[in-house]
Amino acid sequence: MTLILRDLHFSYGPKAVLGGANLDLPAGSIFSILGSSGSGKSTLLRIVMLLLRASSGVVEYWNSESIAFGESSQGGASDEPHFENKVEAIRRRMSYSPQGYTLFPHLSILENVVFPLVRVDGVAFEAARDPAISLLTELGLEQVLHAKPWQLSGGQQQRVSIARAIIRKPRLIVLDEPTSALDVENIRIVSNLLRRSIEDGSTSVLVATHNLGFARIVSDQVVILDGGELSAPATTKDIDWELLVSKAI
Amino acid sequence: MDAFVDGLGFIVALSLATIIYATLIGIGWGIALYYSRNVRLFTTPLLDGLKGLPPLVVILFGYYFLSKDVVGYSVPAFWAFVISLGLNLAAFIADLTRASISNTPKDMIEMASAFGMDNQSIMRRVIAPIASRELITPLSYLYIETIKLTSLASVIAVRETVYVAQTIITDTSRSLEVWVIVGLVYLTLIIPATISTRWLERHLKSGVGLNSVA
Repeated sequence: MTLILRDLHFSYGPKAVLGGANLDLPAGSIFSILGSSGSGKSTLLRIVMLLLRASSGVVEYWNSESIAFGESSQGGASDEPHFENKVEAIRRRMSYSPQGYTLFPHLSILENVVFPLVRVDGVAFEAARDPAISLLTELGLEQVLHAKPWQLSGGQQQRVSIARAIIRKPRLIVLDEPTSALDVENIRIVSNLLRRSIEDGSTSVLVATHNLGFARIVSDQVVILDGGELSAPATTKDIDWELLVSKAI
Repeated sequence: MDAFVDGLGFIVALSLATIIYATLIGIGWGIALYYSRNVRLFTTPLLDGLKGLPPLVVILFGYYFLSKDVVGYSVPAFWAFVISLGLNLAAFIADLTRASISNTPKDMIEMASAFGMDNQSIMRRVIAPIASRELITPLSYLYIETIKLTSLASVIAVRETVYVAQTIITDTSRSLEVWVIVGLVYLTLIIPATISTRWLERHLKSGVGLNSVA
């Protein structure tokens, strides 16, 4: 398993967002989390990225690293020696594309894409450059390699953010609403890229999305986050898509 | 005329020394203010005091404080000016630095954390380049102000342009002509500095980064 979530709870003040979420994400697969706005999809992804601390529960990565949250862990996990180093090491094997794209304004598009490779993984810029250009070309961004993020449209920025997540070849790619600003053609291109990125069986993808069409073509399995709980995973063939549409998910 | 050229040299030397000294202290102080609660707690009164005092008062205090009677060694007037005005300027730079770091969008810092960067790398690779874009414009105006404030060095007998002018006026009684020349001397420094500042502003707005991964 690339990722195991066990009994994750999280609340914003008195409002419970996650009430015992469980998930098993196998290696080499794409899971989509569907749910209405405010259902806690982004919160769940931020907990997986260790950017938010759950109130309780356990997150296990690639069957070897686990982070336990909860009362015991408040004086426990975060107080472990080298806890920060452990978190950084886990994050270095993941990639994240947040809802707001979050491209660095002082860097060009090409520099943004190679940034995690060059500045975190220690890859030489020359070695990272060609794969980045090839990926950006595939995403139709070859004309804007040296532009700054503010010169791009929302859809272009979203594709850059996705390219930055994919290029690292991490164990886990976490994408939050990756198609919110994309047209049909670009959704198809991104889907193909994601499917290709898991081909070698070492990378998995966890996507939170509203876009049922995208979820249907890209996912191996789909889970629904409703009332703070994740449904049992279902393949795209087993899901009742009509029911999801009628429930306005 | 030679005396004015010497005076101009003093303005440049005083400005450069004050700006370099104040920038090093101010940026270090600003970073410490952002990260350390103790630094905020113990140095904020000093920072507010330095910012609140008129520069002339700080310079005169510095000049008399850095004397043989008080510190056991008489610091030359040039350096007494640099140290005291530099501290005054450093307080403003520290405040600007702290504010620029605080204004770095939190999602940028979070994104860098999500890559697995440590805090030191986040400061160097993300916060510093983004904050410096915000910092550079106000900082350049402070530097221009510092060039103008070097005229105050005449009160502690540093032989810069105003001091030279006062000496010439005493000898010739040609006040108006002398002050016109003093004005021109300052403008030869201030106008290029102002044009450079505007260019820098445009350069930064056009999005040309100060830092590159390449």
